[in-house]
Amino acid sequence: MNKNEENYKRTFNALHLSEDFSERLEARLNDEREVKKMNSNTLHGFSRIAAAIAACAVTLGVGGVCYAADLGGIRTKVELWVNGEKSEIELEQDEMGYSWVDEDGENHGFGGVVCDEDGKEIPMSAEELAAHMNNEAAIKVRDGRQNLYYKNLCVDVTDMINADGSLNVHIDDPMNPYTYFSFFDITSEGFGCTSSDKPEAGVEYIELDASGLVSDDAAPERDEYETVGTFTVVGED
Amino acid sequence: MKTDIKEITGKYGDRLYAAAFNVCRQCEDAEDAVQEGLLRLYKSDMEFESEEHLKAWLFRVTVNVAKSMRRSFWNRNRTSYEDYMDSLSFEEPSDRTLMDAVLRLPEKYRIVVHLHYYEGYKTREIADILELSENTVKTRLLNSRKILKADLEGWENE
Repeated sequence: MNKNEENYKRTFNALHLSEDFSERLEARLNDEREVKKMNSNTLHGFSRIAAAIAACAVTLGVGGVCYAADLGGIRTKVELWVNGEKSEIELEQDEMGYSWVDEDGENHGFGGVVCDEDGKEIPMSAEELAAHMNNEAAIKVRDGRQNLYYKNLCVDVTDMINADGSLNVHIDDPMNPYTYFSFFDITSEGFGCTSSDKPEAGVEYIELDASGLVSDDAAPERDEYETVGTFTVVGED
Repeated sequence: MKTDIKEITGKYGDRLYAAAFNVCRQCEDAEDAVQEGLLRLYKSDMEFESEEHLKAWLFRVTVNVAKSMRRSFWNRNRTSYEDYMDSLSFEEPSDRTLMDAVLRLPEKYRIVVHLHYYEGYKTREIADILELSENTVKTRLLNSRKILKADLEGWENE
């Protein structure tokens, strides 16, 4: 072993899984066993919806990464709101879900699954994903300022972001029931975000001016399908 | 070969975690990536020819999941990079400097470096795990070494 290898190994030996990892893994394995058992039974005696919800809960527990495997290279054109403008994007289906490269050469990937009535996970189609993504808000740095983009809206939120990198906003959009957005971990590198159809108790939301929001009839409302999970990746390569 | 998740976790858990942390630089995400990798193993019908085959498969899946998690839109209480690094017990003071330097490398370099220096994989094997060409792996390794050599006093020429 050369000196570099020796130093590297000693250094990274400092990394360990947390003490309760095995316990949490066991709990997840038990969930999987339950789902397997449930899927092998007929649905007589309990509601199909309940079964779907149970399966969804398990999927969410994964930690947010749900994607379709073994899909291959199909391209689909969809309309996506990008930086306040609606653009026709060609999504390429790959093993992770869908991806596209923007004009800056940045690679974007996203994917998701929905539950069918039997609780089985089905990869979301490009159109379903686009509809979902078009109802999301995003924060991006432009000219050193943090801008929030939602459909055709662009609001400079730099001075609204809390010291802990969080931001809670509401956008009055009649076409989207999920308009209470809670951002967290906002940095120049990215952000995390959840959305809800109602305000969370104890959270103050900044009301953003949505008077200039365009009507977006093309995007179906979310309750037309049941979203289990989506992910978005922006990165190099 | 038969797979026992508990046994595999004991054997490879920390190593998978080190690889996942190398990719996402965030401890909770890295643990989720390892958990997801192990769950996929549990759910998989894969027939593994050997222990090496299983290990390489686990690394591939865990690294891919970790990559996907880097910028996911999911809510969680996150530990900051600085706080987590401060909580680690390094054997030598220079180890922290080395880890910081490695984790500053571009992601596509980091994982190649890690699989080479920590797991001892050869370029061909890294290429298989990451589904890259061997030349790409060689180039990334070469570039990483140049950066580390410039950043670290103790990094030797190879």
